[in-house]
Amino acid sequence: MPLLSILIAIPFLGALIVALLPKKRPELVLPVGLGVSIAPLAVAVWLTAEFAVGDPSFQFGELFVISDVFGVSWRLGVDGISLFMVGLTALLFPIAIAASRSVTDRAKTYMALMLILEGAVFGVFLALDLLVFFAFFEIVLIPMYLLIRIWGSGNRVYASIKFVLFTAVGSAFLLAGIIALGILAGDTAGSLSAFDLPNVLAVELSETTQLWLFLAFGIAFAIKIPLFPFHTWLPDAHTEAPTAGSVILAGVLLKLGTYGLLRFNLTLFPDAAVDLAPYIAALGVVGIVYGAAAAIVQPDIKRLVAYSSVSHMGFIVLGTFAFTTQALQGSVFTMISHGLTTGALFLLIGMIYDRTHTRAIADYGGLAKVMPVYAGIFLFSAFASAGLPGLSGFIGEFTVLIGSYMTLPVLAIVAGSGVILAAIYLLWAYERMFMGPVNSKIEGLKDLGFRELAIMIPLIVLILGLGVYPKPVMERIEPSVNVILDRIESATEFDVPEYGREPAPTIEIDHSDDGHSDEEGDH
Amino acid sequence: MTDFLWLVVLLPLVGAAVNLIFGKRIGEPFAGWLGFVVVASSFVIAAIPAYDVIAGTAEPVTVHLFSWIPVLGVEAEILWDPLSVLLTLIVTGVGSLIHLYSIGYMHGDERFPRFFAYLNLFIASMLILVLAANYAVMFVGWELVGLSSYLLISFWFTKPEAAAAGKKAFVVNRIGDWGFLIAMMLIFAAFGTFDFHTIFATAEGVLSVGMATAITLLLFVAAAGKSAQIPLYVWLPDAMEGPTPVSALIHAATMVTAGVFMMARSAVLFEMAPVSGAVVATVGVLTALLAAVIAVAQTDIKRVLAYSTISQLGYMVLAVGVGAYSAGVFHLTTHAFFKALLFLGAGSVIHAMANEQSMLKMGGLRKVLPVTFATMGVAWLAISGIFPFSGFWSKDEILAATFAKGGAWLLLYGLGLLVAILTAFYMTRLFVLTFLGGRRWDEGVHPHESPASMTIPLVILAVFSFGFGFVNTPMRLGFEHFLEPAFHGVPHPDALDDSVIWTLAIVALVSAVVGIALAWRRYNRDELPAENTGWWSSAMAGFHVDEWYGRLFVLPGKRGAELAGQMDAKGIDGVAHGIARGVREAGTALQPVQSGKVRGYAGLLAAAGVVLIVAIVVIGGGF
Amino acid sequence: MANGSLLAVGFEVVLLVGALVVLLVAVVAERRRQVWGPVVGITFLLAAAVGLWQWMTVQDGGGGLFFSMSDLAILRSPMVVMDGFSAFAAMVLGLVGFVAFLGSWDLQARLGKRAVEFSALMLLGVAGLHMMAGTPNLVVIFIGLETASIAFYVLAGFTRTVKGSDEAAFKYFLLGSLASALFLYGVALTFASTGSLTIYGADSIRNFFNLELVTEPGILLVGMGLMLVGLMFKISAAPFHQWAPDVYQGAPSGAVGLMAAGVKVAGFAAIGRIFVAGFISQIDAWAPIVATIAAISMVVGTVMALVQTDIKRLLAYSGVAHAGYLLTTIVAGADGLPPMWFYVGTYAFMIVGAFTVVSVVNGPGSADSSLDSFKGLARRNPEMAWLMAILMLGMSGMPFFAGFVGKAFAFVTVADAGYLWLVVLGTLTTVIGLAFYLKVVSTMFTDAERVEPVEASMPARFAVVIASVVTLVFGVVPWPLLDVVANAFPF
Repeated sequence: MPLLSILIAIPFLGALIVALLPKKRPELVLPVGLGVSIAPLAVAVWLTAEFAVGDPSFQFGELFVISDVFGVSWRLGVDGISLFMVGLTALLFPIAIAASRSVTDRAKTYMALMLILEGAVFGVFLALDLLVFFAFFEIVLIPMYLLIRIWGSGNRVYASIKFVLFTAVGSAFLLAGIIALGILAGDTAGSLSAFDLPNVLAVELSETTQLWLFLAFGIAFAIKIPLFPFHTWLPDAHTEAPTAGSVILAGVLLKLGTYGLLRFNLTLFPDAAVDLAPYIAALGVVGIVYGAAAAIVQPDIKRLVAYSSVSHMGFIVLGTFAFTTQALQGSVFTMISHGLTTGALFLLIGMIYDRTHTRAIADYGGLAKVMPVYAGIFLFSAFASAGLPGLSGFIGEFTVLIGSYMTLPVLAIVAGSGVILAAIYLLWAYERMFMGPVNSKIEGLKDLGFRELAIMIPLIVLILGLGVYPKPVMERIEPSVNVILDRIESATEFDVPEYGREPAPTIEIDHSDDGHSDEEGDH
Repeated sequence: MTDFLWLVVLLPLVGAAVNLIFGKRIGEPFAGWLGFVVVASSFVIAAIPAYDVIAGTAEPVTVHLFSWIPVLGVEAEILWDPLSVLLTLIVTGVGSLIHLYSIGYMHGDERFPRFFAYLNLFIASMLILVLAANYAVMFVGWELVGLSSYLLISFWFTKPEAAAAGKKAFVVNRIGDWGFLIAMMLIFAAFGTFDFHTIFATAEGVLSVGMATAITLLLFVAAAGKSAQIPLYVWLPDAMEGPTPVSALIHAATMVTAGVFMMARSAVLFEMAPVSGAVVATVGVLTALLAAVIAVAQTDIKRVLAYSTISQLGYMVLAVGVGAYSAGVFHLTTHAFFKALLFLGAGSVIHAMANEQSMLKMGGLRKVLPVTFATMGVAWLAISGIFPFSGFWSKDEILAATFAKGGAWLLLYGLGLLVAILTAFYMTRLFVLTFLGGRRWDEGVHPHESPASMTIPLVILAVFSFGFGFVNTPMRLGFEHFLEPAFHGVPHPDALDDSVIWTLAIVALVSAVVGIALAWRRYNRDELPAENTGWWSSAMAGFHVDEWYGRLFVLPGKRGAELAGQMDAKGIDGVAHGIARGVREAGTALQPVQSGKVRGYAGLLAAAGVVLIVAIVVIGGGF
Repeated sequence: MANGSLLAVGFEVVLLVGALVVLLVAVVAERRRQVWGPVVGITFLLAAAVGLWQWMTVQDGGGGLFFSMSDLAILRSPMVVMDGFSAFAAMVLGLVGFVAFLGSWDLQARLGKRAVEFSALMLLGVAGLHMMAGTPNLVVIFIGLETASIAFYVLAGFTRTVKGSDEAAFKYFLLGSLASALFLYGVALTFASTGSLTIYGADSIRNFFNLELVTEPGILLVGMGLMLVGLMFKISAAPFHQWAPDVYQGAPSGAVGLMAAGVKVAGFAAIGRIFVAGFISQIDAWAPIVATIAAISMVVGTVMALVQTDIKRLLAYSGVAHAGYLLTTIVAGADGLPPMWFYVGTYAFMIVGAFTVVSVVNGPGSADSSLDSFKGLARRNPEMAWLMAILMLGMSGMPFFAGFVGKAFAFVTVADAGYLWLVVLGTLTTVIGLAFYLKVVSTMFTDAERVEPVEASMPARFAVVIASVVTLVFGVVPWPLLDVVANAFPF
């Protein structure tokens, strides 16, 4: 059974079903949409359960040749990395949809767009053909654009087009890069071009070619992540998007970038990756500090969380380019965890926004007295986001930091300061919104209802569960991550350092961050 | 008997969860009793296997629970050795007393169940910290302790001061945590594991001295955050915004000692790094001195105790610095009893005085609060270092160990002695102003002794404050031998001659007496000396350290953050908007060419055609 | 051979006969549109069916060169060619003509009695367009060009009462004539230098290059250049595009679709036929020129479209950009023809659909059609708004719309031909293009003061639906069409 194709198809078909619902029964839209979006979740859970632990190859593979001449195939498959990206997507969409009850204007369209978006995101994570990957990667923009444009708040026109143009500029380079790579692969594969991952992986690329292609791919993903200094679209888009849009944007769409780096930049252009790693990781670390610093001064809670995303994504980038199994696993784990925690925060902000229609921190105060349950869950999510041990955020960022130290010691140390800054911006915001005397404007607000609690509970359980027992996730990620490292090791001079097996770098020797182990040099 | 140790951690967690979710339905006072029972059960479950360890019949063991972060080799394990046994008993023991006390103290608070949920959470966190068998799990406890502390300090969050204090505590602690994190990076790079046993067993061969120094200094940064040492002590006085039982449990008896505990745990590493030892000892003694000086000028009863705690923690840190780990842990233990007692006593006073905390408005409470008066008297003598109260023995041991190192260390010894005088002075000041002399109460205050649930813990703690010192006297070093297995063969500090020991003891005792005498003369009278000008007001304000921090770090930090915020709008977006505008303007600039006039179009068509033809001829080689 | 010969010109014959029948029927039926209207539609569909028949015949090996006085003459200098190239053009033009006719239904209602002539001219124009694709003879190409052009000059000015329509038609006529003249002069010079007017056959230009060693290419190059200028004008490539915005804006919306789409299809067929099939040996001379024009067109079209406030002018400039993208395929030579066909074939439907929407929103005869008139369309007529959104996304080159597939494969072939810089430029202008296509979409979702619903007639809706379906289907399931265009090669 073409399980993965079905996974992609369900939401698209669901969108069609929603679009065909009778106009006079608007109350059907939400349940139908929710029902449709739960089906992929079931599939994703089944995939996770059936996934062969320890097997590094792509599983549940499918292949259908679209064009012989151009070497394009419908090739799908999941490995330990995409498995959880799919899972995260499958989880966040039903939640985001369930949280969309306040959308009553053109609800059908809204629901259809959400489902199209879901299908497209599945496509990105499952496609193993560069051109098909690109197609899904790019089409994601449109439903998201419309979600912001139509259901966004105040400054939505500007924010939506900014979102599209920033990311599309990256896509332009990505497409050019994919085409160039496809042409080169075509020479080996004996067709005009070839975009299939096995074909593309077989190409021998010179260092210069690798460098250019790496940059072409990298800039697209860097904008998507977003990596400093390409991040300025994100606060606007997050802030103006409707709640579900923000949840999906932060929870899922940003991961398209880091996933792309991991899947393509590292494996396709290992030489360039090793050469550029310190610089890109440095940008990631700048993002960690810069995003956190900017978050501190935001007067708008949604913007604050948006900037915190910039900071968290920096950890993922740092881990991705540290080239140790610890750091890479930490990166993937942080992707999952960030989706859960930031998703939770945006949902919570949406719930309060529905009540008060303001996002300004200054308009609140003493909320914990008025809505104690809400406050408790908010604080939980904030601490999860700030990397409190025992919650999922910690596992990922901790593993990234420990894993990055061996190859990028200075950056890892600076990145560690993120823990302080995260505490500052989140707790300061919490203090201003939830503590202190009760602001008269928010007196008498209702605490979370059953429906809202039901939305939050899965996230809370997962954040806690993954924080306490991350092993089931980690053990599925590990083999896939090691495949990437093996490829880097075999294709380049780089050796992944082993912890505890050699004298640890002393503080004076800092040049080990040039990406090469200096085992030979020191003896 | 160690099979059920996991319950020790789990029970308080369950208690916290139940009270958090169902607390409202359980209501007062059952929520409090639930909280008390789970902690007391933990104490009992821990006490049974602890007995074997104390009796010396059980070797340290590691209990494996589950695999936590496989890629880092982090196992969730319980290390059951003398050090963790001791701390577990203190945490659950003193903890249950404070739970019991809180049932009375928090009576009538609308978030009564929530309070016990947080207290339980704190106990669980602290137990994770002390029972951890590796640095990673210890860090979990370390951070969760910070969380519970945050929750409890800002428990009365509608008060802006409480809200700010909680945040400050957490953020300052996190600065220390950064050090912990970096230390862990170095440790993992060197050892490939966080496991205590492996690290301590192989450290000698793996670590260079420089590396050991780096790691221990970083660990000390972490400890300075949690154990409130210079420069990170500033959160602790503010933490007094929390309910008084919280101050007793967290900011006196347990959490703040985590730093000392962690350094004692890492004794093997500290032993390898003499430079770190010197730094630690110096910072410790300076902290002790500074805090003692500030404590002298405080008028708020809880703030005196807060600074006193910082000062006493300085002693413990000094002990670690001079390599007297068991002395440090010994002082930690005695301090846990008498400082908890002092706080609870203070709480009892505040409770009686209708939340009045200024000592200037107390006085003469001896008669109305007899139990509080008596028990606090014990604590007063204990902390002042009067023979044979527990504080005397533990403080003396630290000073002796410092003295024993000789040379420049004698300076530290001298400062330590000075702190001892100051300690006796400010504690006497507190005691006299509160309980003796005339009544300076506000109108309408009718103090009365607290209920039994509050006084029983006071009495129990008083017993320990008096007698616990005897477990480790120069005649019989029982405590030191008990802890030995926890330190992986780290040698004891140089032993001194008996005569020197006794001389030092007498010197210490004399200093305490001097301090008490000075304070007694100054304060035990009807007309109190004016202490609100010059030096006094400066010390009262903690020498304005907070303001200086604000000017030096917070404000520039804020500016930087604002700059970052603006750079997005003007810098990066400026470029993006510039490009967009450029494209647009190019379009607008071309518009006039589109004149609508056929003549113009035809001209351009012809011109472009000519260019094209010339180009094609040139390229095609037509010339 | 005779049957085959008839089939080779079947497309033109059907359309010409259809035009006559329509006029006759109209006379008989007292110009009642319900009666003659279907005849026009059926004629277009029939023509498309002939195209399909041609296609199948060609695939079975039945294609070839036709029409001259004798078999020998056919071998030396044929007048008609039936190959995958012309057959595919026939199918596309027939269907596009059909959709354009549906799209002009509202306009015809306004034209009243004159609608019959309008429809007949459409049929004749399309016949002329296909002539450009179905002949190897340069003069016949010119005749087809003129047939189509004259029909379109008239169509552009059909609503003389509307301000601007007259001017548009006149401008189109003057400039178009100039371009035609240049083309014709190029043909003459080509004949002068090679002694041939045909691309296939014994006396063909191709043979000339095969047999002779060219030492003095000067005259030939000038001839090629002139033909290129003429064709670049027709397909509105920059800097020969200036007529397009003015004419598109002035001409009735209901008629612009066919002008824009049909000329692009036929123009590129002619370019492909002349340059890729005929002057392939001179590719080193013309490819850099074409690449440069492609680049200028992409940039100018995109940048200018960005600042437009009129939807028709916007679409005109976007057409300039599309001419640029299409020209990149020509640069790749023979490899570029399949993507060229895919691109232009799907683009033709999009542009017809888009102008039909414009005609629905602004009225079919309108000359003025500010972008603001699209405000609130999502509420005033959600169906039209969403279909327009699909068309805009299709044109912008979004994946899962046909525009992406065309563009992607165009770029692949161009990159393969060594013009990576064109690809980079193309992807970048595509991004800027996204800005104005989304501006249209965004405008439709902006709430306006006007809330009265926009009515669309059934044929117009049908036209837009077909266009959108083509855009979507070949975006999601491109491989059947890819297989087809892979065989749409010149003889």
